[in-house]
Amino acid sequence: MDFAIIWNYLPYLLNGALVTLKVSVLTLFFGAILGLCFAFMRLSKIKAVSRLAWGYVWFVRGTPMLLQIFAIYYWLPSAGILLPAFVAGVTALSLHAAAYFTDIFRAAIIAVPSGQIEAAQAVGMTPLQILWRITLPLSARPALPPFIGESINIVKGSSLVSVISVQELMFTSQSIYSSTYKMAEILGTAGLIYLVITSALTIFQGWLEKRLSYYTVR
Amino acid sequence: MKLPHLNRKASVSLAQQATTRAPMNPIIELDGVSKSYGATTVLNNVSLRVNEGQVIALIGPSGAGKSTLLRVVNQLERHQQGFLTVDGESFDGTEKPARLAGLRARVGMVFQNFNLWPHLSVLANVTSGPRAVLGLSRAEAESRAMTLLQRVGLHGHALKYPSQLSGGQQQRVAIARALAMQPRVMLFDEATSALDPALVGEVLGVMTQLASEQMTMLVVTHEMRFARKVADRIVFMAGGEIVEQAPPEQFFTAPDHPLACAFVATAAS
Repeated sequence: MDFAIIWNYLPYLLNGALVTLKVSVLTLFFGAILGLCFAFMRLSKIKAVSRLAWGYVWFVRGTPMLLQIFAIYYWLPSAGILLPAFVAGVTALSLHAAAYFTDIFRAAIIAVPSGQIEAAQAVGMTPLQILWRITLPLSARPALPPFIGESINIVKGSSLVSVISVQELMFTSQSIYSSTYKMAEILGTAGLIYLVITSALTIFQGWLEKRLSYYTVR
Repeated sequence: MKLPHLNRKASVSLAQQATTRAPMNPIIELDGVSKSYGATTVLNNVSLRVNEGQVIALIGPSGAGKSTLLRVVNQLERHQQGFLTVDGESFDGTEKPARLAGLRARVGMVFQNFNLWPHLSVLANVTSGPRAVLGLSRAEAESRAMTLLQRVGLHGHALKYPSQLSGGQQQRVAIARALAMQPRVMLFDEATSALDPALVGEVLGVMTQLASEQMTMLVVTHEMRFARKVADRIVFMAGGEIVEQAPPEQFFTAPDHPLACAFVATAAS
């Protein structure tokens, strides 16, 4: 083990990790919003709307993420849409994550007992008030574990945008070891950094689960 | 079993007396209301009139359509034929959701399984409706809620969560939640059926008190003693139809319809 090399290149790796974090947070943000929209489309009483969302999930979940990243970066320009690598990467990851979030949110919304929705209807709340005051808060708890699970997938999956030369953690590691040949040291460190980020998410999950369930225990 | 049939004549005159005594402002009217799920008819041409301040007990075997009838009154169930009139406003079952919110704000409902919102404190359960629907300020809604919680004997539990309360306490919170909207009518859908027998009394106590304050109430119940003591009129349903209506004493001592006779006989045993 050559610890000096780790120490020398740590600033570059941390810079890469910062890009990984940026990509992940943006993907989480846009993916979750899009996923929530698709979840409500899936639950729509209008058949065409529901089927459209179903089709989206079917297609995006059924094709490789790598292929989707290539398609958006290399194929969209031929349709006149030229995106910088970073934007193309976040777009591809967000569209992909949205497909998974769709089912996570849909399942959590279905899990809200109908009696609690009826009770809100019975006091005269409008559908929007019911959504905001009852449905969303009550679906937060069942959505949390799979939501964090998918967030962890996003952090790890963000390494795939290295193929379109977004200079995140994986890309940075590859360019360092290809010139220094210290593969074990550099990849080992990168792996540790990924583990630190995903561990933070796991700890956050535990903390939030406690907070969200203090009214259901006992 | 057979004795009630002999009293048929007498029961008619008693029923007539009851109608002449009742206050004459109808607040709920159902006129030829029908509803079916596919081939199954759950309500068949039901007509009912409830005057202001009256307490009506809806009783009958399960599957008779009592709960469905109750839920038509606040349009949680939409009927397919006939008219519902509440407080002068008519509904044919095809109205847009926006109009139903206005109806529901005036009709309180208490459910068999309480249906309190588990993520909100007792206080927030009671204030949510008035704040969201009536536009009350937080302070106004909370002072109204505390008054009501005091009335149902739970003001000491305002900051607890529903899961920290017993079933009977939860149901009393649910009653307070409905009353906080200051409804014109209260609907009770088997409000004590999910309760431990020891806790039924405290909920019936609150309901009895409410009845004595001239609240108009429609009560689906299996508590025959409560129905007999508190109701102004018994409405007996079977097979999606109202089979018999009578003042409680008459209904329980001299029911008219054979199905009602059989029901009263079983209930008494």
